[in-house]
Amino acid sequence: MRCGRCQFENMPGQSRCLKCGSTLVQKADSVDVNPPRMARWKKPLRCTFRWFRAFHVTPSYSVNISIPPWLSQFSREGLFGILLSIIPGLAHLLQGRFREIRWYVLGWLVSLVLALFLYGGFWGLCFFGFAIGLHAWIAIHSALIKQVTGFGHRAFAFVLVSLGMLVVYRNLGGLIFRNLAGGYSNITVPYYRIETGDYLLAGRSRLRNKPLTRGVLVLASLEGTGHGGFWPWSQRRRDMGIAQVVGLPGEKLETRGGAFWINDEQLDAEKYPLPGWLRRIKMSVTIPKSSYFISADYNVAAHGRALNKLDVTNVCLVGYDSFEAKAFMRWMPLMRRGFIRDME
Amino acid sequence: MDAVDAARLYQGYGMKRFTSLEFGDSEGADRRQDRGEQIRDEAFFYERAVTCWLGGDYELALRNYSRALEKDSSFFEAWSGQILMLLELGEYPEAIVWADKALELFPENPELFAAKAIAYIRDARFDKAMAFSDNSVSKENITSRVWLARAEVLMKRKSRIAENCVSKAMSIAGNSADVIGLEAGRLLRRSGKYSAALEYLNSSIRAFPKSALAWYELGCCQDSVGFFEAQVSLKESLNLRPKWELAESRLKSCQGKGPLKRIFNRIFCS
Repeated sequence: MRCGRCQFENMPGQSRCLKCGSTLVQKADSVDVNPPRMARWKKPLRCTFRWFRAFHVTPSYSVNISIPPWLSQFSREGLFGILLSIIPGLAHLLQGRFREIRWYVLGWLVSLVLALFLYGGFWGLCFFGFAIGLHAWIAIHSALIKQVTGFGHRAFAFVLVSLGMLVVYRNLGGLIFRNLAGGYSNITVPYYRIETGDYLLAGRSRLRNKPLTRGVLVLASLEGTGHGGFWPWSQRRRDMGIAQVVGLPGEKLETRGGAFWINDEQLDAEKYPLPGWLRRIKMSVTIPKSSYFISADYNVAAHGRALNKLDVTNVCLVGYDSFEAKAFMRWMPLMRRGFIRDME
Repeated sequence: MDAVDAARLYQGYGMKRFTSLEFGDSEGADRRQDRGEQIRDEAFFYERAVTCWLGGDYELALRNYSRALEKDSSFFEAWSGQILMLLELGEYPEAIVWADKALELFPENPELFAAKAIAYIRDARFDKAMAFSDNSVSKENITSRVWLARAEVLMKRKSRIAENCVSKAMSIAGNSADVIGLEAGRLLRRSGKYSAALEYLNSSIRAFPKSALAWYELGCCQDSVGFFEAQVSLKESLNLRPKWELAESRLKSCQGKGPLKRIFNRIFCS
């Protein structure tokens, strides 16, 4: 029996070639000759992972990181494991079992990025909740889960850690984005493509000790604003909200004919729209030197009664101290995301 | 590719039994002509697979290798060809699986270990690639492909002896020098050693003047070093295989390249 590979003449009945070891007896239909193929959708995924591998971004589990035994032992204590897990996966990394929670860490990272991207909307909040939940799970998985038995106890621990994480996220977020603020718009300004309820980003440094010009949108503490917000049925009074600066110190402001008038000159209604509640009130006011006139669509229903002429001075004339930040970007909804151009 | 090219290729692959049947033998050729139609045996499909590979159509080449194996499942060159086509198509895990399957039929075959090394290195698994390459060169009857695989692995590691492996592959290539030369040229081009690659690819063009793949590789290499001839080579490649997306896109980028970019490439990439 001749070998197809090396042409060596073997003894009959042998299954493999004596010289090269190749299989001698092969039925044509017994061997599958069609190789496995890659699904098309896998190609980009594989390319991405390959790229990460090429740059050694993916953790190499074969590498033994020399961790002092006391540190590893320390991370195995429930409470300390949670403390270390403020950086997700750190406790597991010290214990040499990062592989167990690598997908949770990836999920947490993706959720966090999506939460930040969609911040200010319903899905942003959902992803934040998901990220916190995953983070809490990673934290209790590091050590506490072995020490606490029973579903009820574990659920309680999970909720407790989640609440703790919520506090950490809130404070840490405030620290990282200390120059950044955000608020829901209480006014519709066609010129800026802003509608009531939009979420705008505002910069604190953009306001600091800088004089305000007419038309800018500011994050200010507003009395009785109930528009916008996360829940559509929410009627609670909001302290902070976005309003538009219409009148500057020392100017005479009037409302008539469905528009603002400054020093007897009519303002463009597209740039300076008159809120609905002010349309019903015909008023004229001279703005004090230390104050600004801000325009916002106050939720009268939330206030419990209709606002009258006297209320205007209370809610619309505010001092510089009431402003927290200057809005510079339309953040939500996504369709209208973009920077806000200053008025000329 | 004409019969002469195919015959050379067959000799290159060490397929003496098929050479005596199909090519390089006037008596055999006459017999075939007398029949009027070529017998669709493993040699026929293998020839078509090689032709497809030289035309840059890896998918069709893979299919023909499979058909060759349907005729004769102990046909090593077809197994090897299938694995190489999977590598060309970028399906590295599949190539590894298939190499393992081939190893069941041809145990301890150094070429299969070398193919696995290539699959691992292209899949950015450097340690495994090195291990398989070490294993393949430690076997007996090492072929040129084993040294080329070794060169590829070492080039990824920026080793200085990588080019020596290419020279070694060429020195033991024997009748398959043209094919191995083309493979060496492609490897060197991928590794950014354009001057050395040009040398191999130019001789490949002389050996396979009707190979779209060889022209394409030469065109890419010339483009990388800023030669104006790149467009001619790529157009020739497109003449041989019209509407080849890879060549079309490369030609487009080549045509859009400004003189400054060419000068820069000429100075820094050659």
